[in-house]
Amino acid sequence: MSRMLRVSNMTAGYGTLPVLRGVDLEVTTGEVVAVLGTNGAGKSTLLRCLAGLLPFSGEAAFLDLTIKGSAPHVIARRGFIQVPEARHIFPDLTVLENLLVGGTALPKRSDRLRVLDDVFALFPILAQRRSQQAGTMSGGQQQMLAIGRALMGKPKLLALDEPSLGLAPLIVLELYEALRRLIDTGLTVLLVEQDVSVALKIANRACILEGGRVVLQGSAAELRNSPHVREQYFGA
Amino acid sequence: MSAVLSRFDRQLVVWIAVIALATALLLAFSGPYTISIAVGLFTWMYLCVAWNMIGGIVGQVSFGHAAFFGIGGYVSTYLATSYGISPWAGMFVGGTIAAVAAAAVGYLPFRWNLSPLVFALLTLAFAYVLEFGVGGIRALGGTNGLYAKTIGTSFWDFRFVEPGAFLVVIAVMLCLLLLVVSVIYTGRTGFFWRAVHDNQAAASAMGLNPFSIKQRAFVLSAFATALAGSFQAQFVGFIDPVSMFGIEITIFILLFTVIGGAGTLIGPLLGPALLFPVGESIRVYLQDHGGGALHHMLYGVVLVAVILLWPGGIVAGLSRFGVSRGRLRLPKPAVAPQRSPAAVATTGPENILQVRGLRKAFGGLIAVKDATFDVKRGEIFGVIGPNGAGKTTLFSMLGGFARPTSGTIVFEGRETQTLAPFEVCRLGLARTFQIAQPFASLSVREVVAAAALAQDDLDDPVAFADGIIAQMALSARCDVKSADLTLAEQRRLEIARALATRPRLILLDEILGGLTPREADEAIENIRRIREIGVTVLVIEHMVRAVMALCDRIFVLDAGEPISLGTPEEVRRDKRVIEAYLGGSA
Amino acid sequence: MPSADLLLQAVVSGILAGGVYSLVAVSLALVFGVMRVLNFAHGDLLMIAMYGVVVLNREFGLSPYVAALVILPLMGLLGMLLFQFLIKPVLGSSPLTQAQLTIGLSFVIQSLLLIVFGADLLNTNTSFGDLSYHFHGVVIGVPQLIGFVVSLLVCGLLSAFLTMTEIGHRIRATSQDPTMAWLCGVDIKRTQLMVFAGCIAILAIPAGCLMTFSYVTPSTGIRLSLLSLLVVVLGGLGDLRGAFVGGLIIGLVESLAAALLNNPASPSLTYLVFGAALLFRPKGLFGRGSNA
Repeated sequence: MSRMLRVSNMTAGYGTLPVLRGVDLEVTTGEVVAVLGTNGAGKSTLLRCLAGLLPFSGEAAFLDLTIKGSAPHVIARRGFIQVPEARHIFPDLTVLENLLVGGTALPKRSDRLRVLDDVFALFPILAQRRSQQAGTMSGGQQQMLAIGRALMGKPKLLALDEPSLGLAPLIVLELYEALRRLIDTGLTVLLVEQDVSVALKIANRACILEGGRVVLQGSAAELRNSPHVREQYFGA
Repeated sequence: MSAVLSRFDRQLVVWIAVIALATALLLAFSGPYTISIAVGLFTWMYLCVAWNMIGGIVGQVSFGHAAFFGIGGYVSTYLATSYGISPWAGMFVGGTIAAVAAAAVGYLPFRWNLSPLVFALLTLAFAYVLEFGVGGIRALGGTNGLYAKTIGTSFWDFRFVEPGAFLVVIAVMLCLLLLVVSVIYTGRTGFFWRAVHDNQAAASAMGLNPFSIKQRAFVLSAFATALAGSFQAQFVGFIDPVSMFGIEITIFILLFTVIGGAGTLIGPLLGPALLFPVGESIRVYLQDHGGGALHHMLYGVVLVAVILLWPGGIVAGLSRFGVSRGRLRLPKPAVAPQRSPAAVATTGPENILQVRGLRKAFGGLIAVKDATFDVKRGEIFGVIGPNGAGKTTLFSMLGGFARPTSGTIVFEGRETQTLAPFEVCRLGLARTFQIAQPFASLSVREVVAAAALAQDDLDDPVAFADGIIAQMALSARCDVKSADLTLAEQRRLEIARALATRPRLILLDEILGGLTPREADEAIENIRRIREIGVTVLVIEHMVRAVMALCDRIFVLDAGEPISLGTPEEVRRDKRVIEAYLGGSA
Repeated sequence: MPSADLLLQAVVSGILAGGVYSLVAVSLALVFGVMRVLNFAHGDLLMIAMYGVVVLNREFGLSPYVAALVILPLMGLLGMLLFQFLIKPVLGSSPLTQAQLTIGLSFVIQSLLLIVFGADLLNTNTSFGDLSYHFHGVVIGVPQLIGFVVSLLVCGLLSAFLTMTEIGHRIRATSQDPTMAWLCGVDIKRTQLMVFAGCIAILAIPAGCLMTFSYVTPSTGIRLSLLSLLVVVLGGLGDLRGAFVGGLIIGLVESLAAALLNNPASPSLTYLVFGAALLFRPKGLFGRGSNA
């Protein structure tokens, strides 16, 4: 078990407004770590910083790559790939074209085509609809496409921002089923969620972000039974 | 007297003095050649100040001001040559026609709230239609142009032998225009123009009508520009479509103003004052040495350099030396502000807000499905639901920012679902914004004062605003730009701004998100105090705990569908809520 | 009322001219799509290429078509420099700032060419400039026809490149959602540089075609800038297919207005059409462009 992602004392914000106020986080290989919190707690800001989209102070390293100062495409090509909130598929591209763009992170075309087969095996629906315009698919299918597109870059660490957002409960189940299969292949995942119960079912470890700070972290079981979590997030 | 003087920016008085002095010196010591260059300079300064009203202060960039310049020139010249009407009178006829034209060109883009780029391109097209169109009208001289009437030398003929007379005329016009704009910028109207410039949505949530504000600024700017066109026609004595309507005129206005600093009081004066004399010297020098367009190139290079180096123009570059953008000033509070603003009238129907069958569909997606609920006068009513449940859409519909697909919203007995945001606000229903830094260029005090000033029936809006600032514990921060506040302070500023419109119902949009638990507790106390002064509160929140603690009744949405309505206790026990909101297995 | 022959002639000439406009507009639309910058100096850059063609033709006797191929890489280089020093710093600024910057650039180019070449009309010497076909009373100039066919061909190649190659997919992805393309590993800064350079380089081709039957003066640039802007807005900002069709339409409107009105005011019709399109179809002909 080696360390994959390490964040220490990360502070960031928009303008003069701090959103993250000193976040520490670590992900080791093979783990599924959930970052939980309400709207505005700083979850998405954390991911934007890690993707290289937002400057921050403090340290963050992915494997031996210093994230600070690295451009997003460099981070992605090293194997840290994100599925952003609200999916952001390329609506006018076909499903296949979306996936191929996702493969940009792999330099060799032969590798891209091999991974394409794996992705089609994981999400058969994408194979069926390969020439459909992505924008015309349903929300659930778009989410699968977004995940498939990220997988095309053969990520070592996959970050997912609220994959369940705006999807019907049945679709969420299906989606998490697929995630489960991915994780069983040994993929390391950083999962950002506000749906606490779903996230805790799939994660090994989790941390709770409140007001830009990690206020609590531990194993999934510990957090499920924590009085703080029960009071804040289950309203009980 | 001092009350009137205080409305004039001090820098402006200095500029007027400088212009007057320069005019006097030129008349006394310079030859006709230098004076005619000075006339050109003053004309450009005048045009830049006029363009800056709409293009800089209100932020709707016009690429077609040449159209109004040309209308002024053509109308006065045509009336003088064909009907013998004095160009002085023709000037105002031209101004009026230009104003009507501006109202027509601006009507649809402003009414439909199209993007500034559409407005810019539309004005550009308008100038071209006129340039080519006038070229095809024989009565106006076609592409050959018209000569201004040369007979008659009385004052009313507006034809002076001495260029010095023209210099005096344009200097007076420039000073008058400066007085007018400074009165506007330092008064209520200037507040409103800048509020619309900074954030139109938030401005309409203060009860301002962005359409009429933009429309008025554009009409005024066009009127002023046309007067300069008439002047130019008389000064040069000849007009043709290219010299009056040509794109170059607009480009020069834009270029000088942007270089000086668009949206500031003195930028449009500074730009031409610094560039034009240099450019003219180069032009004259080169004319004697084989001619060339080097001065145009200089203008272009300076424009590009200024945009890249000093995006705010020379004024922004000078601001470090204490040159202000010529901002409006509020009177200092005379007496200690009242602790709490006057209580709000609490009479009226028991249900202040009645929502019936409200639905919003975006294409095939139903964001809100048949929401029905009442808000009772004086209660704190909560709307909760997971992300994507339709809370924000519901909120937008209540505030007039989105039009429902079907259903009705009745506020104090009046249907509001078809009203614009500013109309909803004027009825007494105010809202806050989730992203709480709407007015980049206004201070805390100015933001709240602008909202109070937008209300017509307040005796002392500034004192009223100060009272609300004190109540929201922002007095110590009242001169800070709103973007420099902490998140908790920005949220309080949002509430203060909403309260300054004197609402009877206030809609609070996720004002607890991102706050630390202590800040959240303070915010909850604040909301309770709002209710105590008689304002009914509707909160949309994501934090369940806070809503449970705060609200009298709660409405729960999930995936666009209302699933529960009741007291916190009832909602907490509702099985559907537990299933949908808490993920089923909690 | 003009005769049917005259109208038919106007339609044919309009479509032929429109084909060249289409190519210019498609390259402008692609620049807008990939970097969200509306380049008000696009026609002025085309004008630089036109002067280049004139110089090569007069000094070295090159045919305008050959001259265009020589100039193409130079235009690409110019595009790279402009992107690095002018466009890149304003990526992400307000559209009006970008407009003002490129208007400044247009002004600089116009005055520079005025200083170097003077205000005279310049054209090229070719052996085929006056050749034409006659069809039922309609005259089709050979240079115009070649210009039309070449422009169509280049548009077709461009479209094939964008839809059939992986680089093309990445360019389209960048144009639809730059941040997301970046997260997918696309080096968007490099993509933007290459697209800008490529689109400026392509301008050599319409420049070569136009110089076989038209002339150039320093004020040609601003006219072409506005014309291509008009086409792109008409077609829908960033919509390449819209820009293509828009080019043909503007060519037609121009030519028909001139034939029907036979008056110096006829160009104002084009701008009226433009204004109406802007108001009533702000997302372009096909409603697929981004909001202007």
